[in-house]
Amino acid sequence: MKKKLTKININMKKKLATFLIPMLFSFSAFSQLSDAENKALDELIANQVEIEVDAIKATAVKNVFDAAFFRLKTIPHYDNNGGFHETVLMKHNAKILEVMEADSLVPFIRSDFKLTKQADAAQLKDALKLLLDSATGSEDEIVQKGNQWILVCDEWFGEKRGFVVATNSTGKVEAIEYSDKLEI
Amino acid sequence: MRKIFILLIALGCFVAANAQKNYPILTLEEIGAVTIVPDEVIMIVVENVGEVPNLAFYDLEKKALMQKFSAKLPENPVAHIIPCDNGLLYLVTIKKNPEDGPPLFDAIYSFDHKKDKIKLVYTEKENVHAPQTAAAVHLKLVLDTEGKKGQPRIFNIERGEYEIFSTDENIRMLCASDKHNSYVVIKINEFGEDDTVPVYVMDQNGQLSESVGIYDSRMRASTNKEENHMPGFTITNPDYNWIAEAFDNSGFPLSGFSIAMHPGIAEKYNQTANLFDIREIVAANETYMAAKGNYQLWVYNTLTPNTIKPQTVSDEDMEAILSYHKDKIEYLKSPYQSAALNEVFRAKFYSITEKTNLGGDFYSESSFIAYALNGEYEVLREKSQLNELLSPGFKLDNELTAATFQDALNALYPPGTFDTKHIQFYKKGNAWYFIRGESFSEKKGFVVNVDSSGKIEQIEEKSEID
Repeated sequence: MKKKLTKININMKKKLATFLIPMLFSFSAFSQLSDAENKALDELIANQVEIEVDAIKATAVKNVFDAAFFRLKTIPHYDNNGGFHETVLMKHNAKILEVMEADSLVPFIRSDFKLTKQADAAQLKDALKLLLDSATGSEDEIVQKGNQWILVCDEWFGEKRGFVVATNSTGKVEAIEYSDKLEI
Repeated sequence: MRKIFILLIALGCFVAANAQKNYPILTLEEIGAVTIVPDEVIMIVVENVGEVPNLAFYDLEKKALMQKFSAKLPENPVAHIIPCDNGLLYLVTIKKNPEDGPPLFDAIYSFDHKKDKIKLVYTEKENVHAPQTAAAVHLKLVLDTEGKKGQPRIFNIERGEYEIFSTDENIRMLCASDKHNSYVVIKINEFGEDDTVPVYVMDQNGQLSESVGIYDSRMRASTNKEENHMPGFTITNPDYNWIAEAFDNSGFPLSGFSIAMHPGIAEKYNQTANLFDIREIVAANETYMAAKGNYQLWVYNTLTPNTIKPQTVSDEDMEAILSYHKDKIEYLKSPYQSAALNEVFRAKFYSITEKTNLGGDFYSESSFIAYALNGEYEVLREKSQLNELLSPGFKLDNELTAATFQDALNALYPPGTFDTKHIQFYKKGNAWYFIRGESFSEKKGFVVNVDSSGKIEQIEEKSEID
């Protein structure tokens, strides 16, 4: 366990300890554990869960969105299966939110970002790819249909998956909706 | 919340869960082709930052931009940058396949960094696959357009034309080494039944050496780590010990299983902090390695790993994020209540469940077992750890104590619905068999070896019990 701790820098360790240990105490009220057991198990868990946070600073994200984004990775070391949890978080007006759906990102699109040409659509697609699981995939097709832009991200048994982006006449993005049956 | 499970089966044998992480010394964005000059600290990249792409040199020792060039790059994308002995860089461009297939080889350009000038050297008129990899051997460009199916194209820079790689059609190149002015080759008709093949070195004039060793191409990925096998060299002529490293630092870009095929690179890759985000490894030399993922280029010092994580998040943001995370995850702890466990083992066991809120009323749960022994708390990761936790007074010497042992297993590892009917135990010779379930008609469970007094000598988990 001590060996594992050396992997995390001192600042991180302190933060994790202050974050994890008090949190753990609160969920053992009904568990018939002594204070000493609780404390020892809390420390064990704190050492078994590695937390990494990185800012997402890609140009595409900065050019499209007016918010700070972070990738939070939780790596459990209590098993050796190489798994981890990953969450993309967004900070806007000092509030942390989890990025889950494309549509929830629309209010945070920069006021000066206009979707009027293929390059703009490609940049929006690149930004979404860094923020949403549903935007990952090997397809790279972008189709314009009037005020709608269709961003194809993936193909699954002949069905194209991706986003339909609706803009107004000036190119301001008004809606982004995911579809697993895109009509092109 | 995104939950990703990546099982690096092929690379599993290299993964050390507690290995020190290697963080990037340099992170760049909007980068196209990349090369790191062998034996030097210079990385050359195509930058796509401004209106038009440009070439740039980075000093990896100083971790900084060295020089940005203004020469207008070709319209078609540069796929490979090849440093050459004549002091020039050669750029290999690729073009779109009119038949919607993989891209095609377009042209070769030279770049003189002293004059900041680009010159067209050769245009490919035929429909030739884009080279998967490209290298130089003295004044020849080695373009691997055929992969394992054929020989590489050799472009003679001085003559401005192709030349034959080898008249022996059985010869295939494993890698080229500019440093040693030669090609590491095998003959495909010499593959043995065990998938090994003699290795030769061919010099730039086509002269072939005697066999210098063996290339073992076997690649086996198994859940049993002992059965894993990665390809590799056994060099019998010490003059050619450089081959393994030359092979490791060739064949870029590498992704997926092709990383595992380069054992030295696989080891470096597994130490990187961005392990799960790396899409491909694009360049490496003896000291540095560059990899791409998430639209970024990460450069690592693989000789002297950077173990300090670059801070990209302010203390204030970190605090807010950890606080958010705290509200999402709870850990439920409870002791195992079992008289059988207390009888068989001297450790006390605990169940720990990590419960994660996925949004709304949706949760994910994962559990593990912890134990306390002599005031030390640990995680029970492997069943083999149970051997160390046995109560010295416990004897497995009759049906009654075997039933107690089975109860203890049931407490720690409750059988699933379909396994319940298979639960049983029996004795054969000095071993007790505790069947815990069946998989594809094979019984699985524990084999417990005991001495003549019934003292447990070893507990072993078996996926196939006869």
